[in-house]
Amino acid sequence: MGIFNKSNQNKEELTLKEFEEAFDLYYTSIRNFLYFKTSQEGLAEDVAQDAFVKLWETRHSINKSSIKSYLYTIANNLAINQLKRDQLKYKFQNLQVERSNNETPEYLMEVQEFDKKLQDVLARIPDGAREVFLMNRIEGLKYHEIAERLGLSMKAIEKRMSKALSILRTELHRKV
Amino acid sequence: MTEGNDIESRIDEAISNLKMPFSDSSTADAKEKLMMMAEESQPVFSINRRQKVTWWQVAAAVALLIALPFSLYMVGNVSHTNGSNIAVAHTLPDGSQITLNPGSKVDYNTMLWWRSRKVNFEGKGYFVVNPGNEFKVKSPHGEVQVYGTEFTVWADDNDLWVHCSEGSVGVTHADTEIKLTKGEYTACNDGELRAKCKLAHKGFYKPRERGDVLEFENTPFSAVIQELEHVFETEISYTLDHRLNYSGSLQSENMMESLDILCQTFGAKFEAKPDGSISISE
Repeated sequence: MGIFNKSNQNKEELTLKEFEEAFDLYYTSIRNFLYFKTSQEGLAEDVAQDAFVKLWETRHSINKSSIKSYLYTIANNLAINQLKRDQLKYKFQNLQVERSNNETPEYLMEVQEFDKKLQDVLARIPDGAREVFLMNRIEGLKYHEIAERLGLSMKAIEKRMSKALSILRTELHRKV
Repeated sequence: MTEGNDIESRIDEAISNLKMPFSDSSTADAKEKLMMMAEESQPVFSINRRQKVTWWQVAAAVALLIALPFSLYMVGNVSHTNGSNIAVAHTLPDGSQITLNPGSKVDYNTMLWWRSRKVNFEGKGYFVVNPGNEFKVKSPHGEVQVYGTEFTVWADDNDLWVHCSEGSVGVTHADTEIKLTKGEYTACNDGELRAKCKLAHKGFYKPRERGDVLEFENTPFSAVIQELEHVFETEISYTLDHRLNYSGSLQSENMMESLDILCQTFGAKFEAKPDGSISISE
């Protein structure tokens, strides 16, 4: 995390160089988080950029050691506002699935069907639990990392993961 | 393997194949856009409005404001004395030039030069002034206001001589100003500014070096003596009428030969005294 951990610099204004470093470190994960939350590709990119604009606007007063959680908080709030305003429904309409061409057509048909069902179920997992689950499974983040980013306790993350897994198991078992 | 575990591994397998719909170029575009926004919004001077201003910061700022003009003045002060035994040219901040005779001194302030071209001067110097705003030469016995371009100032603790070679200059002493045009000179001796005199010889007061021929044309005798005193660095006293004029050439290398020629013209004679000074009498 480089410069953002040096306590003596935390009170100073965020420099252009530090802003660039923050982008390199956090933009992709913030945008992915927003995508897990909204399922809207364009919206995720727009809101992620808006979060960085807000970061730059508050560069005079920002505590550099909390930039990461600050960005996630802004991104989360902006996304909630946007979803409310546009009354969007979560749907993984653009999530692509990579499959090998070496499989038999029957197998491929079966997994494609499973993928579709999976995406349907993911769409029904409540807000909060879904992005935590996907951050863990797609981004490979550990529970404590997710907790740190979202400003939540480990227990809250475990609970959300458990909830997401429970819904997935139940719904997919029923459908398979 | 239980049925639950089977579902979970299928979920994990399916999820591991999911691919985010973002390209690398979209990230690069976002970065370019954001960095441009940040660069454009950066002020030249950043002021943190939330920062508290303490009393000592105010005191420091006030002290700085008070000390700044003085510091600028001190930093900009230039003093130059020609310590050599030949005439030396000195260039002023605006490119104007002074040729300083040995022992002459000039001082001025480079920080204030843009506002006022003013030099303090002692000794003998030949000024070539570039066009611009007001240019003044201050000496112990008066001030020279420059309207033209080329002139000679010859100033010491007792006297001030000013000769204009090109353009015009004003010489001020005790609220009296005499304006000189090309070829004219005036002097301030014994606390009084003399009426201007015309010198036919254009280059009379131009700096000379040893070896130069001193050419005079209808030049007042007193002025010839002044010139010889400075060229030979000796005192010359005389009993002849100072209103006499002299035309002719004298050698700057040989004092005795020059004095001999000058005295022959007026039927006078000269005598070298033990202290090195010269006395001319009828």
